Amino acid sequence: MKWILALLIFMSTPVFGQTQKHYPSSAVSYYLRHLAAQFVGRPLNKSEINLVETKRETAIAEVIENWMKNDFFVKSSRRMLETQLTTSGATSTVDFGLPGNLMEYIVTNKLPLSEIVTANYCVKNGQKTECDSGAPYAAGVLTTKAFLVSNDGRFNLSRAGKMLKQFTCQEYPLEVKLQIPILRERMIPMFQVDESDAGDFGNGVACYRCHSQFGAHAQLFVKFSGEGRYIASATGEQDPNQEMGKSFSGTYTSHLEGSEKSSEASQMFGDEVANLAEAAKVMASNPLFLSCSIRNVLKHFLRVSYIDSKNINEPLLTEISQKILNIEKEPTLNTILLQTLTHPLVIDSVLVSGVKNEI
Amino acid sequence: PLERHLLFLSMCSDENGGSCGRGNCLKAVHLSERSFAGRSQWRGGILIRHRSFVQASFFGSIVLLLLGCQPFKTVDERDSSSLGIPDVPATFVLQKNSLRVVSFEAKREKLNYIFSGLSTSDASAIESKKIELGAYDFSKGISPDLSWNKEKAEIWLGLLSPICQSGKFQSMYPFPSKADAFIEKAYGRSLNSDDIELKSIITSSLSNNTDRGTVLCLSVLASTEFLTQ
Repeated sequence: MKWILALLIFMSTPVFGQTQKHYPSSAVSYYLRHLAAQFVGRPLNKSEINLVETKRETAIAEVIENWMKNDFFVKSSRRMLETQLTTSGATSTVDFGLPGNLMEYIVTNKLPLSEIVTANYCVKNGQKTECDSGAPYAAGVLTTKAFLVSNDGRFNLSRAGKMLKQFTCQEYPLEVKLQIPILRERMIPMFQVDESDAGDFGNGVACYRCHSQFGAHAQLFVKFSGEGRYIASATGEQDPNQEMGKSFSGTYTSHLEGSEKSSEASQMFGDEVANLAEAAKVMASNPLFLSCSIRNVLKHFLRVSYIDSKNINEPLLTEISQKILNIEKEPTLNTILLQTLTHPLVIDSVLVSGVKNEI
Repeated sequence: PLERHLLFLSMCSDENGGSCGRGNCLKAVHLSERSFAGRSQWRGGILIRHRSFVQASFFGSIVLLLLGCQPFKTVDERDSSSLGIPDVPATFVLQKNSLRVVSFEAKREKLNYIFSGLSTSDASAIESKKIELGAYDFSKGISPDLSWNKEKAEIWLGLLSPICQSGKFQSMYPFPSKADAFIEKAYGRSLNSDDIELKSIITSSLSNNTDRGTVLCLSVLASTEFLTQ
């Protein structure tokens, strides 16, 4: 029994860093003042200043939890998503606010953050509603005209790339063990080659290497037109009268040959999926979704740059992810934020960066 | 700008035998802010006293231009012991060598917080400049622009002017009795030596408490520490 107990204690100890680190009140004040602008939009108030003086590092969690009850925090979370997806406002034909509405709804109701791509509804005026693409399924923001129109492009590459980058922090080419490449013979000739003369499309290099993976994710969008409408009859065939990558009825050309062109069925991270909604569920349940969410909250709430966010220590992300999953199997944004921003190594990084920030 | 200069024109009486001759005159009060790690350090004094509004503002501007041509200055790394933390390696870095200007929404919220809400006209004026101050509207192709420059600083000061000269501000934060409270509320921390120096400069440069309060308000709300994260 003793060795079982020892093993349990060992496994509960973080890989690195202490679970409870002590900071002087000056450091805690600096840290919270750094966070305040994105959380609550105002400086620390008197009671928060006093709390920091008396409780020091244990005040951090308490203050952040209070801040997350504030409407400014909900709106800030909305801005985080809108900036990620570059969707906001409205035109006469597209409500670009639907993704932001969904984010506000998820945060306000403390729903799992994964619903941002798995929700089977959209939100308008604070109420659930049908999404606007007309698809027979919904995949959170992915099946809104806002996302589809903002990222329309030949071969659906922008949609696939944005989805992957913003929700898993991955870019093509991916590790082969993560995204199994489509076999060459299944692809249209231009993507079967390794290199080509960069003619009407592409940069001429790594064609098959990237597009064998791109193609699987782009296929998920084969039924969606450039205007963000679902066209059930879309074939994925190249329109001979249009530039490379454009199909009929405003939709985009498939990467695949033969009868597979018109099918929404594809593969996401090794799982066969019937359509975009199923693919989104696979994506959201992959550990990359949570670690990417941690990067995204650091980028927005701490204003870490995109380049610096890519260099965030992987073991740190793994440790924070584990702490989060120990609390919630389907974590909310609140839990993700609290566990991330109270981690000693995150606090240390802000304090050290602030102190040594030469201007 | 890493070293910024603010010029305020103020009425003065010529009790100190300046260049004005008899009666009231104009004086140009100069405040310079050096910013580092989001913190502000102030210096300042009286640039010129002149009977003519035009002359006072003209010569004041000339001096500011000359000051603005000073070479870029870096500041020494602050000793980490000032924050009481050990020297530890960062597992990631924040943006170095750039100021993280807060969002438009945070700028507006800070003012709402400090003044317990803004008047309808002030709120409308701020809203009308939201794009210039960093708001976005992707449907119109407008991305968030959180850079800061002279033009934006002028817009911001222009919006702050009526607020800092308003009766509401003067009654909420009269100078000097509520000057400390104003600074603490704006920055979310206790006063430090730089704040005390700023108050001292303002007190010695201006002759009445209404002007002192206005200038303190403008200086703090246009400072780097207030506008950055």
